[in-house]
Amino acid sequence: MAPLFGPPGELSEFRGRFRWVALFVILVFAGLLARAAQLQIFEGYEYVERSRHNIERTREIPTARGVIRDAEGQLLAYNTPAYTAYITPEFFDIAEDWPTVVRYLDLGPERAGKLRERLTRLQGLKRYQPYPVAENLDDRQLALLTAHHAELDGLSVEEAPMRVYPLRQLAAHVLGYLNEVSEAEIERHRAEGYRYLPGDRIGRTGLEAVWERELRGTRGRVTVIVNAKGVEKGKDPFGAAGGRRYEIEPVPGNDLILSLNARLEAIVDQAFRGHPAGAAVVLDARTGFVLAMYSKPSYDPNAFIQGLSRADAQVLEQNPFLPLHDKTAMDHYFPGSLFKPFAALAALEQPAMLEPGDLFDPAARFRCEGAYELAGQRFRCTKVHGLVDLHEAIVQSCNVYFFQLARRMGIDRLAQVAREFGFGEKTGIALSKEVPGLVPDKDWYRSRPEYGFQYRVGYALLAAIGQGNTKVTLLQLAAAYAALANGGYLYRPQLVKEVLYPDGRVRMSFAPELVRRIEMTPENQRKLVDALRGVVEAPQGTAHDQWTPGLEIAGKTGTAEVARRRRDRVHRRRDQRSTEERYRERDHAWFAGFAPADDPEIVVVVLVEHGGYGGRYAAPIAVEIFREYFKRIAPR
Amino acid sequence: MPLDSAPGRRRRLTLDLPLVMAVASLGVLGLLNLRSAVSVVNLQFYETQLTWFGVGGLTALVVWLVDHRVFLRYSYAAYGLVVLLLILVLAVGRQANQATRWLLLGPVSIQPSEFMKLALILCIARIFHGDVRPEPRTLRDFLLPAVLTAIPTVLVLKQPDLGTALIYPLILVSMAMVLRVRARSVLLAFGGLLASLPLAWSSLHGYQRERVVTLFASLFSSERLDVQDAAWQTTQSKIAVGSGHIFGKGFLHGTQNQLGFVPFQHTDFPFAVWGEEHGFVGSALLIALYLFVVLWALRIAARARDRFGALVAVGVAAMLFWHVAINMGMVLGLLPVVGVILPLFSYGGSSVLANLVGVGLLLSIAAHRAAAPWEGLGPRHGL
Repeated sequence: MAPLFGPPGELSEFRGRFRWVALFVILVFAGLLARAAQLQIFEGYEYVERSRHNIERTREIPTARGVIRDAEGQLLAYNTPAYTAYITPEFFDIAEDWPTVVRYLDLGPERAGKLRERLTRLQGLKRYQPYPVAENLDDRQLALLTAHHAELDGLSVEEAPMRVYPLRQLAAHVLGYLNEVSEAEIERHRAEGYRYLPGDRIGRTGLEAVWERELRGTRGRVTVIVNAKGVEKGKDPFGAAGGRRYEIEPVPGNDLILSLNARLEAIVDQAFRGHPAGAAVVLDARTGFVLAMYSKPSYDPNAFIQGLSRADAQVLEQNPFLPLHDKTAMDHYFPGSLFKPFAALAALEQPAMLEPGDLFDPAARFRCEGAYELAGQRFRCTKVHGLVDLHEAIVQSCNVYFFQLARRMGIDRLAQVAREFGFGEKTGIALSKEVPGLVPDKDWYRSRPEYGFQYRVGYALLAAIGQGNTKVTLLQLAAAYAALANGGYLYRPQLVKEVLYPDGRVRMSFAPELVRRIEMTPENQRKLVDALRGVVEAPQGTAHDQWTPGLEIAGKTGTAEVARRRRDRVHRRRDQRSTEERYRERDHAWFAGFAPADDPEIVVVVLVEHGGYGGRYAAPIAVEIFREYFKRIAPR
Repeated sequence: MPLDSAPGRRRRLTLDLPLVMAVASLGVLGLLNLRSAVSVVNLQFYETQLTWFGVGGLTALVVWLVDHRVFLRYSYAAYGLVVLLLILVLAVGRQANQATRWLLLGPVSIQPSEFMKLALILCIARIFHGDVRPEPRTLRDFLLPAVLTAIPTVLVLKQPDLGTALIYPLILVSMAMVLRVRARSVLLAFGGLLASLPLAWSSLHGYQRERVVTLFASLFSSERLDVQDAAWQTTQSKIAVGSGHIFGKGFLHGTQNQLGFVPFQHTDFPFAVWGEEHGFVGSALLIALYLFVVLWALRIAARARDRFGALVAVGVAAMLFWHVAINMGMVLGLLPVVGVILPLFSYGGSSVLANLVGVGLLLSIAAHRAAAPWEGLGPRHGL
């Protein structure tokens, strides 16, 4: 420093003080230097890392979900290009810009409120992931967002494929639908190694849910450089990422090829015209592959993709015909007379089980006088059939004949045969929420408090005609009738024939899956098939009205009681009930059959809910399906 | 210049080369750094700043040529004029960033609070210059300077501009060190300052308090508090400087700066840009340059032959010192975020001009050493 001493007096005194002032200045600057050294040298690496973290953003590259095709290659579910508006919550000013976004995207108050809540919650998480706020933008919305993009920080528009179900209501229950993945599901899938992000769609029901992991595909990932507002600035504009870039190419999902036939599905739908509720299953009798699965009423899965409004969802949930239910597998019913062939087979295959001294002879005739008395209780028949043998009993659907059989065999034998044909257990078709149905036996009654833990012979009588407590699904019936038709091969119903890689290579291929071989002699099978043919062909057959030359249909009609007869009679007297109430007490109409009878190709099971008499209401539908199938799908 | 020198004794005008070179270096580096800082904001700012450097440099040369004692005469007038401008600012000033700091004069906007610093230095220097009593001063003797400091302080706080307002009292205190003050008065002043802290705290704006709180939180806790706005600025500024590491990321390559993570990078945080792009080496160089300039200004003060020159030199040194110390302390996360510029680095014509004129004053003081003995100069001699 310069000489600090000068002339005496105040000025020279403060010159002396300058040393201290200078020292103070030096110390302060040394402190700054030390702090710079701390930040830049000692903690430098940490800050280098943090500055890199600031600008590096891992961007997910969307993948394409696999498509679903029917047996003929027709698309049942595919993706269409669409634009989605995303908001990155961390960069978005909810208070200021949300109302504008709501206006541009025409969001309803309900949806806007829900989304705002969600965005606010995500904002706290600091995940910097764009969240989809509106999908399938129309031209106007797209133009608005593009024009005002610069003013709305955190908003982005990206191409995101939309799922489309071209058949709409048709086969909706089989295909299922997608909707938004929940936070809990994200966690669960993460634990299993699958990455989902908020706003992702996940298969919710049907094949979309069951085959989610095949269909979904894998997202790609790329690290990009973003500025403080999250706007992408290319891959590495400043060389700051130092060549560190992780790029994973997206892998599209695999495609499903179904055994289902969309044209047949439409044929079934056409056949059900005029009936508000019902269901049908068409199986390949030789393999168990499903050709059609139909449940009416249905819903449009396309509506679920964008998230159903609460009002729309309520309409669906409150519809008395349960459109969301897959009636082919999610619901079970009394099989009614459709059970009789199995009861007959139980007797034919093991006559020795019948009571000693009353050896059962299939040729034996029982007299039907319109009802059967047991322990003071009357079990009614459909009419007075007179003397009938097994063949005639099936053709004319005589209950009394089967009461006699059941009386002699007991319920356990019936249950045994029923279980062999797959009743009482899920078919395992790999659709969610399949029900097993119920095959009651003595032990079952003895375990039920509502029956006083007691078994009565009367229960066997009811079981033989598919009433009482026997409950089956359409799918079970179809598989069981297929087994009757093909000589005892019970196949598991299957929907998916192949899973293909995106490039078309086969990833999985499914062969018919035999559940079990059911013991039956060719003669017995012959007898049953003949009887089932008689149902349609014989003049007294319950479905004779539907006899069509050239179609060799073997089948069985059924009428399953829904309401108790006695109450019915009371009600009939004072007829103040609504149409709907009366409708709901009407019997279910059934038909199950296969064709051609000698060399069965397909099995058709038809249920018309509250349709009434099976021969009159269900058989025509089934016959129309057979007719159209052999005319248009597989002409011979 | 009647009192400069007697006829025939006129000395050759000298130029303080070390100071000029140091300041020129700072100016060049400051301009380069600003070029980088505004490359993402608006390159127009860089050109404007260049113009102001030209204007400021020329003005400094003129000031250097003029004997600094001339300014003694006009100090009150200058003070009065700038106070008037400050009042005008509050009345019709231009608003930006929620503060009203600028006056629009045709195509240029000026910030009178910057010029107030110089006016205050001259004003206080004049008062102290005229007070040549040998006995130690008491608090009463500082009443007039304190009032003259308080007026602009309050006016600038109204804008509001806490950073600049803070500088005025600091200049006063720094310049008071030239005088002999009773020890009791010093203690009393400090005591009063401490006692008034709660009052000061309560008069702070909410966001200002938040800044102070987050600063202390970040100094004493390892928790990452970068959620709030104030902490965000400090955090990003620290990340910028720290990530410069030893040699920096290179000119125009600071990601924190270029991608907008450093807030107010061209006004309050140019040192963050500098530290990021030039590393510890750059930071050390810059700190050394500022240290040199401040010490050199003190040296000029110490070598001044007249009280007024010494006082003005101390004032300019204090102005530079406090700006650098507070600004760098803020960028390095040692002080709360207050809007204090970094001399010659921050964007702003008025501040560039004021600082360069300050340097011009230093040059003038260094050049015009009184021919007569310093004791001989004083109010009694007609000043």
